[in-house]
Amino acid sequence: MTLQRINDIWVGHFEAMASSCDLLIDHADPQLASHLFELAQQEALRIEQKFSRYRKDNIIFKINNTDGHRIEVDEETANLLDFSAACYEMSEGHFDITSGLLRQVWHFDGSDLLPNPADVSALLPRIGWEKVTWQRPDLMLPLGMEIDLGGIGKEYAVDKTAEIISQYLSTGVLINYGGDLFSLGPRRSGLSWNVGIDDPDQTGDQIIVQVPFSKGGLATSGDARRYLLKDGVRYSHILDPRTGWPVLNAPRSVTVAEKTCMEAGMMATFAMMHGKDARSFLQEQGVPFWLL
Amino acid sequence: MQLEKRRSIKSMLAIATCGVLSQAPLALQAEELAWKSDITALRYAEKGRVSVSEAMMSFRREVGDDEWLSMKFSWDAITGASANGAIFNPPQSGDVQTVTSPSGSTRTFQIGGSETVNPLTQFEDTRLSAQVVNGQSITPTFKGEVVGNLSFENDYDSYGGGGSFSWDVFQRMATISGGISIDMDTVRPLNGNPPEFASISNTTRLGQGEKQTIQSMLGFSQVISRKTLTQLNYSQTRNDGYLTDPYKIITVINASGAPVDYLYEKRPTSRVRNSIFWNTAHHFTEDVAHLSYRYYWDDWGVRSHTSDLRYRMELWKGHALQAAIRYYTQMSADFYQYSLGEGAPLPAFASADYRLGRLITQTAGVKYSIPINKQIVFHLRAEQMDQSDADNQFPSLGITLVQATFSISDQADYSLSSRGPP
Repeated sequence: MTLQRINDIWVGHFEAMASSCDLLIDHADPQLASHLFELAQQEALRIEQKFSRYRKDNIIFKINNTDGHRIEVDEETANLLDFSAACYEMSEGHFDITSGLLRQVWHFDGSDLLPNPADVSALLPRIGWEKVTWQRPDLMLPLGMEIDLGGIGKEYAVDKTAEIISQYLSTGVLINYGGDLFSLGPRRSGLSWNVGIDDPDQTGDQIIVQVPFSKGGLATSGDARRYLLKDGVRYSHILDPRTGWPVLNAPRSVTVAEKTCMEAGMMATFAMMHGKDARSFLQEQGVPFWLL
Repeated sequence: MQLEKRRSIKSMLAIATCGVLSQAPLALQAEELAWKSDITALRYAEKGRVSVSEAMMSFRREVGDDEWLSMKFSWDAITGASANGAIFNPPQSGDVQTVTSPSGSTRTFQIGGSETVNPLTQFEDTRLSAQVVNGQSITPTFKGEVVGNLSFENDYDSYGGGGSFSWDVFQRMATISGGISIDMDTVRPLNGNPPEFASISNTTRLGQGEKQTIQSMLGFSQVISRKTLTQLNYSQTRNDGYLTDPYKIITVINASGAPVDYLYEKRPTSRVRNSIFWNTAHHFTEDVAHLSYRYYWDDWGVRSHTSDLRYRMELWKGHALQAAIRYYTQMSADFYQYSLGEGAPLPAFASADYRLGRLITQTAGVKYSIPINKQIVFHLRAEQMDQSDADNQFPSLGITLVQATFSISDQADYSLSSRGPP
């Protein structure tokens, strides 16, 4: 973890959940700032350890290796499963935590290597939340199926970190885990935070829109650098779990502001799922958004 | 001056005209006057931003039994500062910047130095306008009107005309009304219009901009009971020509999010605007309540909802108090963009004009009417309007408006024809 001071703001940086994580604290006391960074990092690493699909010592691994047997899950996991089930319902199956298996055949590396349609179809019987029996706190996943909370994990970590920090400070804190943000409130000067949206064509190099952001959650979804291109058709990494194929004409980048980071993240993801109708979907929802 | 404002006034005026026609017939005045008139003075000021002074006179006289002539003249002067589209509170050199990204990565760093432009432009403008209406009852149930209008200001001219009708049907229990108007406008800033997407440092100027507006309206009003009247209008407005605002700019930001340049905006050369308006008035024993809703949509992606409730209480000796509340929400145009990325390809169109962004406006007001004598009524209107940008990119506006009207034998409400905020 590194801690530096930029223009009166304490900026802490660490790596977690396969992302760079930044925490910005506008407070005079370096000890408090440093303490809050430790709490934030602990929380992010705790969530990563508990819910990462790459580990063999956590609840996700246990769930994915029950071989069709019932498993009782803890309170926090149950809360996330309830949330995922609700998102599955409200997106009419477009958002599905059982769709991670599709990664076995789809590799979004910018190449033109599309998977064999037969391989995609072969996975579909093992995908679909409707096949799962979820009666809190008991979960039964049919044999061969898997869940993956990667689609909500970072946003959840951001909101949980905000919850912890809000016990110490009520404003002047910005949490940014891999581009998913939550602001407890504006800076001491009353100014909002400078949040830029990356250019989807040159992500990591160029900010394309400057968004003054003072309170709540903000998240971006998009297909920058994660797509396949064949015969002039761009296949975004946003897969439709019902077909196993990418959503066509999905926007390059959708940024949404909402009350919490989880809501912002889900809204941005739902918008991507709507493909070319992303804009009208967001307009109907009446949320602030930036579509690139 | 700004096109958006111009257009909306014309559209409001034209709709107001059509609206008057589809209202229930007014009770005849006891004493006929040769000319009936209204004189209105208006002044409004936004906190430290804009002040407007306005005066209006209108006259109306009957020519024979079934023909009438009305004229309206107005003058207004507006001074102050208006948001030009440049970023408010641009990040200062040395400030901290963080990033959200579709790639799921982030970075936080310090911003390098840059020059910034004041997001407020000072302006001063005076407008003179005149309108003449000639109306005729062609049959006892069919009335027609022709309208001519013109207006001039420092950098903007407008000429137009149109016609409208109202037709009472079903034993005068319902009225069908319609209208069409055409306006030809010219925008000519002092030194000519800047090329679209040119940097503000570019001194090239082109000629004037011209645009044409065709507005049509169809309305239906129905007496539901002896005390209730309902009305439904649809109107469509087509704009063609130079629809860009030559005074609006958009900020170009560099890789670290700091402003590096400012470009003049660019809008499409056509726009089709639609609105559906529903209004119901109910007369209680003495009081009157109005409830209305308007849905607006256009092919630039702007959508808006307006709800309005007003209640008029009859007090003693002809005094009356009217209270009104209005709530307005707007969705942004497709090409509304707060900033452009340096080196990124230019979009087909872009504007950072906050009036094309996401807006929420709340208005509350009261109007008090005092009869001076049989023919003269004095109205005093006070209104507070709060406008906020839902994306939190521009400071909120608070407008306090005070308006005084002398009505001589006619009670006209000019609230619809006053200038909107710049």
